[in-house]
Amino acid sequence: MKIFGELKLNKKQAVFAITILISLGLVLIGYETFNMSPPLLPGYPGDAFYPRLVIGFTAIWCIVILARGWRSGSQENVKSTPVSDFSFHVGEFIAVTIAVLAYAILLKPLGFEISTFLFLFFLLYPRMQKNVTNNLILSTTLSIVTILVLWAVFGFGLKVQLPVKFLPLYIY
Amino acid sequence: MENVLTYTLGAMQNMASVTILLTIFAGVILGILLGALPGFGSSQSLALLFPLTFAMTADQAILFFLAIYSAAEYGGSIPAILIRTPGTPAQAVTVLDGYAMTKKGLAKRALRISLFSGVIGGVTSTIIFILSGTSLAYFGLLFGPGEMFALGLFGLSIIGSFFGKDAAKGFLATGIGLILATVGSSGFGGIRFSYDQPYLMEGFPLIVIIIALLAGPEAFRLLVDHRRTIENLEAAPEAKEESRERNRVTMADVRLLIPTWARCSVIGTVIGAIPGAGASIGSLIGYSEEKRWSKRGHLFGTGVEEGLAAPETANNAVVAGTLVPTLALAIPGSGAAAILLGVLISKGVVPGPLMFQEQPTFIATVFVGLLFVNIMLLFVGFYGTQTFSLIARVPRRLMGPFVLLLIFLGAFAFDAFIPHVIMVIIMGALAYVFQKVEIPVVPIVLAFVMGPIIESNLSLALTIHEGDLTNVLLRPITITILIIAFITAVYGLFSRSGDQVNPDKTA
Repeated sequence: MKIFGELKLNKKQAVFAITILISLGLVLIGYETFNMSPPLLPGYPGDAFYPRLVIGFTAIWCIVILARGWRSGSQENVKSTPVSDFSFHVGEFIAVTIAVLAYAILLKPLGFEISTFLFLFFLLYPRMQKNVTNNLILSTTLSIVTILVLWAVFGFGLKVQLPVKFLPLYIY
Repeated sequence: MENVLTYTLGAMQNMASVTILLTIFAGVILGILLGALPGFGSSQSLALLFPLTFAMTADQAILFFLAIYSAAEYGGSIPAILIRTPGTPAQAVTVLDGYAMTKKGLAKRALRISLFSGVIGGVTSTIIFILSGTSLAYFGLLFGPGEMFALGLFGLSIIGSFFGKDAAKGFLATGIGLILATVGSSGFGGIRFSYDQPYLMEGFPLIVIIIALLAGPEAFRLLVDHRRTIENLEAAPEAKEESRERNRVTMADVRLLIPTWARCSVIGTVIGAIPGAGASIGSLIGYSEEKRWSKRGHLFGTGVEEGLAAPETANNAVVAGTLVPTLALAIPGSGAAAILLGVLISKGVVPGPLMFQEQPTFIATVFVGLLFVNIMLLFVGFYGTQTFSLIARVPRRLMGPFVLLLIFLGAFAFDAFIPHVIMVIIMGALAYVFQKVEIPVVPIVLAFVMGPIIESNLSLALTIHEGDLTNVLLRPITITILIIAFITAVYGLFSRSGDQVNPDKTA
């Protein structure tokens, strides 16, 4: 599997963008507090009181970070330095996220054994760094052994209701 | 207390029973194994093993549970140190210096320090209890809703100001954690921020937040950033050929850690005696106080022995402290203590103020037993270190899939509810992005733990005092804690302001 989409990003700009997104989120949930139920008990300030306190507290720090980012952005020397840059493997990140979400969605339809095997194999195979045959054998073996160990510990030992298709959950 | 000391010899004779010793041994093994699994904290471990106590006597059952409880607090530190995945919520702070030591090739050293610290914390707190148990019980009763609210704010002041390189980002993360904690029930009949989604009506489960925000980014980091890394954690650049020598814990290390152990044992015991506080708060306050007092406090987070010993000592000291309100007042100090209380009641043992007078033998058995539990934990943990540390030899690029699978199953094991698992994945991915831009995620987790304590106590205090905030805030203990919290926050902000000039300075 090739790596693609490796980006070099400026940390300060990334923090600025993330803080703006958080601020928008705060506005949305702040609006939601006006739909909350009024206080029922005497003295109780209502369901919206504490969330508004917290939203206000978080908003203050968003403003501090945005003001700081704005001020540093308007300074003369805005050249990106290695210190403020970081690399982000976008393709790899998206692939891993999709793989684990797919595992979550397919766990019950396909069963614990098949979905876990596919998940582990998909992630282990490109990381083995040996020849094709060895990669296949190692990935397959490790995946199967892991499935059996997890089934024994979680399913059989701890009585977690794993959606198994072939392996038993009870031994009489 | 005189009765307890008088009956101590009789209790020690009880410990000489093979059945009792085997029960404690089994409890220690099970506790370590279950505590090491993400998704299985001490409460879940005790709940899972509750049926095993049906055939046991009262003495056996309580010692079995104490063994599990103590061992689980240590067991949770193993994955926290080795793969940055805390086994229980109390180890959220352990990952900071524990995992940093593993990256330096000092995994065994970290595990040993964690073990010694936990055992010393447990033993010291047991002795403190024997000498002053009833006094501590009544101290805990002085903490009403206003005091608990102030204690929660004190915790927040520590969280925001001491974690991460930038205090502003630390407080932002704290705010995010507090907001996440408001989702779901308000505790007074309202449902907040559910957007009519059934899986949000009960809020975010604590275990989902912990696994997602602490273990999730590490799993993504191992998979994404270390896809082509060939070295293992033991082969980190800083590891030298004499790694065996570096991993030894010497008498010089012991002398260095004695002040840490002493301070954090007391902190953990006192925190444990406060109903509702728990090991998470104990380890957090232990860590922050040690950072303040230690000569190497400015190096905490980089793999410093005191930074690891402090939370581990405190969270094990909480165990004996928790027994104070549980046995003396029949008020469980934590979820695990509530299950202990259930075991006692099922065996016909009635905790309460008269217990010390009416059942001194049982009290003595409990505390002598706790000493034996810690000794057993020392031996099992010490010889297990060799096995546990093998994990550090696995190449980092191959650990990622297994860590991700483990946290996935940990979240699934909680309640077999796929939306919770998807929450873990999405939050884990976001936490990975946060870490990339140096927004710390530990404050989010800790604020999430503190949030309900703060809100419920504030709301209760306001209800009791009919909305009069001054009545709540001006109580002596409350105002004292609030002043300390303010000083802590200001100190943390201004002491970090130098880092703004040099953001690469390691905290």
